[in-house]
Amino acid sequence: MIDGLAFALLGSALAIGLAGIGSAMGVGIAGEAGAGVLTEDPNKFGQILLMQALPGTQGIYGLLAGFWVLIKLGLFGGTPVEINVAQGLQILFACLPVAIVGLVSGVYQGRTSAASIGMIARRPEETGRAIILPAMVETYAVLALLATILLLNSIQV
Amino acid sequence: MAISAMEKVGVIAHHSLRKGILDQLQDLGVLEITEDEKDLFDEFVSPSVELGELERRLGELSYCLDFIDKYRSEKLGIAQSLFPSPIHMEKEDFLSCSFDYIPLYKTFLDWEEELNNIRSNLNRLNSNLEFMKKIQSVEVPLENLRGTLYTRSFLLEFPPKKKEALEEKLKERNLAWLREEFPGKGGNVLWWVIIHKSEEEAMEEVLAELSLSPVSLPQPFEGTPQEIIEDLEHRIGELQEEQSKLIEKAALQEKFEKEFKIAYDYYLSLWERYQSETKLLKTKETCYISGWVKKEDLPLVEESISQVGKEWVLYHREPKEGESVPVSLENNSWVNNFSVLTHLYGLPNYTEIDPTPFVAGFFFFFFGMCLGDVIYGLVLALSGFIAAACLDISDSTKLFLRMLAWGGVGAILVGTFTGSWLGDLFDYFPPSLSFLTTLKNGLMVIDPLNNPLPMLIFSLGVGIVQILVGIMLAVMKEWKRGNYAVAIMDHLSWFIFLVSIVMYIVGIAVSPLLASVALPIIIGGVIFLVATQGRHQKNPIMKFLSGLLSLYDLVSYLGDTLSYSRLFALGLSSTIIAILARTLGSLFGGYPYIGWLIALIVALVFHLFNLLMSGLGAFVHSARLQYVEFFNKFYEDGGKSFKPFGYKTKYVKIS
Amino acid sequence: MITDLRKPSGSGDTRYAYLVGRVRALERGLLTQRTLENLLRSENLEQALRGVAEIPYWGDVFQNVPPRIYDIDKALVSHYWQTIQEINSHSPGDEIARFFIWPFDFSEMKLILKYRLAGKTLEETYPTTLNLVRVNRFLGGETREYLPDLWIKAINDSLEAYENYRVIQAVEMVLDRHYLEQVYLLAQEMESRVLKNWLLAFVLLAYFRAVFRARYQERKGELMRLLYFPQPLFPEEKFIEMLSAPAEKVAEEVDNFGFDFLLPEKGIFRDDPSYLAEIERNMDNYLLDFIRSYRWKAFGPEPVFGFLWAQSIDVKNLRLVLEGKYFGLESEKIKSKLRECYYE
Repeated sequence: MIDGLAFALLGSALAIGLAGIGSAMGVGIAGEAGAGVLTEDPNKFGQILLMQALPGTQGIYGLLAGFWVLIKLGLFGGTPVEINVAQGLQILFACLPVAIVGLVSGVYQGRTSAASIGMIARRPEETGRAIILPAMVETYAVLALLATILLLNSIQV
Repeated sequence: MAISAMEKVGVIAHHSLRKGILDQLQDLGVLEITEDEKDLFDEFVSPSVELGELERRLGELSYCLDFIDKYRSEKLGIAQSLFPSPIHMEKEDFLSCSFDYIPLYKTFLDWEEELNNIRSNLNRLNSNLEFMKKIQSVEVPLENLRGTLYTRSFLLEFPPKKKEALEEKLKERNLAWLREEFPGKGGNVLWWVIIHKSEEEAMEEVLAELSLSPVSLPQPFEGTPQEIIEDLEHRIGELQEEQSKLIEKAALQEKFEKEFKIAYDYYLSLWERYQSETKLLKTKETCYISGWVKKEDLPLVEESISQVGKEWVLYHREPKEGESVPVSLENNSWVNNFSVLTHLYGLPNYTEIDPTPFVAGFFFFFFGMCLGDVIYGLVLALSGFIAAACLDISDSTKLFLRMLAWGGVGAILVGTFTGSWLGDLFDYFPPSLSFLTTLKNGLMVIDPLNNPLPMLIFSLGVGIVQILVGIMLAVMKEWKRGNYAVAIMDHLSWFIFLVSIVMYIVGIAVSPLLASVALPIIIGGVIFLVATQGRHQKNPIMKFLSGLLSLYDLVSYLGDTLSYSRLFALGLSSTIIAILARTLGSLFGGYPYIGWLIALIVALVFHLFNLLMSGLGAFVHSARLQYVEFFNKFYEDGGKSFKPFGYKTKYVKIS
Repeated sequence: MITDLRKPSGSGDTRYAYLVGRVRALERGLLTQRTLENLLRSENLEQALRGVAEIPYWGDVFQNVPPRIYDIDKALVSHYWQTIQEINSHSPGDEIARFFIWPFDFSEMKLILKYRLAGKTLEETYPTTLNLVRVNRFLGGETREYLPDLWIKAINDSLEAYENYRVIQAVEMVLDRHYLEQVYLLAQEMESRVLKNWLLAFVLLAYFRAVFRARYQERKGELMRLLYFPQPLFPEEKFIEMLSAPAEKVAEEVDNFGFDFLLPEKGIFRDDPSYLAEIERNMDNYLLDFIRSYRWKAFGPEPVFGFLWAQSIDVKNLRLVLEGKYFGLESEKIKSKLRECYYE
């Protein structure tokens, strides 16, 4: 019989892992476009770095959710709580929103970031607006994080 | 707190006064010259102005500045290139600039050409050197390759395995040849072959059969390869020395950089002056200048023009309806820090309300909620204020830094009330500092970690407040324009409806009396909306149906409200990462001797990272909430910025 | 669950992210109507060259170049060639850069064959990716020398045609046929529908151009057959027919293909060099317009391809302006020949 703790840790791992993958892919695509622009115009490094960092937030949110689970399980304080299978599964499912949405929205935010980098290359004065465009995609990651937090909060441990 | 009131101004003056008036106007810097509708004169002429000469000078100066930048001995630091410090000058000094840059410009051109020549010569010499090194071991002077009266010479290079085949073939043909062998590079064999000139064709056939071809020199050389190599190296050394001397001389020119920049800005202002002259209209005796001025600056303009002469007339009027008026925002100094947000989105048009004060207040609070930590806020505020005060940077950057600093202040406020002082660090202090812990707990009102729901409801509440303010601004805007019906039916009705819904929800949770008061207002609101929202439709059935459908907008208001939940989420995330930093640090604290140092470093790294990421997220999301949820209730951008005719400078800051 | 990014999806193929980023920055160096008008206003060649030096990325192209037509042309072409090579060196850019390299390689091959058949040695060459040593050895008889199949077939066919017809135009026709065949094959392989259609339009317009020029130069139909390769766009009978048909019939046929907008005067075709120049100008503008509407795509080969095509049009326009200034032509006359710009 698998211990409930295993499911809970799986949830935490999925949250951190999948959201991290989404961010990595997103930041990677944005980085490719940024490298292209920098080959021609090295002066824009600061702005491009900023744009490349924008899809990185999904990983942070995943880390947050995973960490919340660990706090809830008491693993950091040194006083672990007993979890039965039902609770473990609850925690696993509660972590899914941030895991899945983090993965997919990270990738799409990366694409938007890459396109915005192209925009900055031609019109450097529009940097401000270029930052807002990827932030629109991030809305859904934030909502998923919120859902995970609320779900985790409502689980009785 | 508003969009400055503008007046349209027109000055008709005798053309002898033209230059004087323009000088005064450029000095004042309060009037934006525009090309006017040609409704005043029947025959007008726009004067043609020689901009070409000025543009040429600007091009030359820009070339000189690029030259200095290219040969600078030490590259500029990052801080210098991101925030270049402007050159401060008094106005009189600036206007009397008389730097004669032309001799220096000509020198730079010459130097550049010389450096290019040296570069291409070096390339040529280096490629010859490489070639020579391949045949370095040949001890025969190369001019002998030209041949004599009866003989021809070849230099051959081939891999050792072809040697036998070559020797055989030559023996076959019985060619009377003389050869000398030398070792080549890469294991190849070098042969110097001398044959009688009558056998030249036969030799070529032999070579073609073996797919060999004689080594051909890139240019006629004299002397043995060794001698040539020495000579080439000597010449390369000489050229390199010349090159570095020139580069040194060029680097010294950096001392003139300031003069060049001042001259550039001088000509740029002059260009701006000439440019605006193209916007004037003139007849035989008069000239006509038209433009926009802030109402309060009108007396200034009159006074300064009157210093030039008496033959002029100034008339002014308020903007006509439908005219596109340039927009300049005026706010008190605190609100002004946040003006970058309005500029980023787009300025309001002249007939609208300036949203900046509202944006300032809400952004300040939202940024604080998203960052939500006292120590982070303190760090941000201190560094922002100090940097804005001490660094020598442009005005707009200062405003931006101050805006971030005020955001930090907001974070201090929110952090105090949520008990987040660098995460939960203050819970773990040794007993000597425990008064800090009690202080923290005493000030805490909501604890989002253990009790998230109140905080969430608070941020949703804040969202509803902003939405309602947005609708109210829409009401005010339409009222100001005189569209009373629209103001009441489209906006005020929704305002009251939403307020009543909120009251009802609050009432259900808290006080049934409130709920019972709110309910009839809701029902009344529904009826009113269904009746009025379809009023544009022709068909009465359609009127009813589209009125019914308009209630669906309630869903979009719900969505907007939920969007504000991110304030809670972001605030929580920065707190939790701070806790994470402390936890990870404390994991390392157990090591002997240097455990505390590692713990400190790890924690600091995480905290710095958190400050940057959460700060970025706070800025981006707070701004986004203003643009998407707030502005779409009442804002129509499309204003163009007020650009008065003045001194346009890139490097100099005139005081 | 993981989205496969590398397959082309609705908004474009993300394999091109790096190249699109580079192209966006390079686009600042494209000519616009305004810059062309500024150049037209200059009084002589030197002033025009100084004007060009102010456009981003064009600053050093004409430095140290003597103001002679031959040298200017060479500088223009080598600048363009460098950009193509840059894009070619980053995969997947080589899939589209191929199209732009072929005109250079085929022109070089024509030059090599012409000189060899005339018994002269080749001095100057175009920039090319051909390995000249290998080609020369192949032509010298080394049949085992390694060359890509394309070139082996092209050379053999050209030499055969020369044997049969004994005129150098036969070689040119055969090499052009191979060029168009390669473009057609590239179109078949292209994943992007936009580029596929663009390349097919290019082939068709190339055939029109060949037919119109042949009519004007009164070439024999037999020779022109060498240019034709079987494909569904342009049936062979129509091809031969249009070579010798009367002008009204030609206009009708052009209309049947749906390209009546190419004719400057509606429904009329003339065998007149300035009329033909107008038609060719309209062809260039049509192709530019086609690819121009995709310049805003965030990912995919279309912006990169469009940029390279725009640069080739810029080279044409600059050549017209600079040579016009050199020969002292009037601005209006030069302006009438200019092609449209990628960005207005």
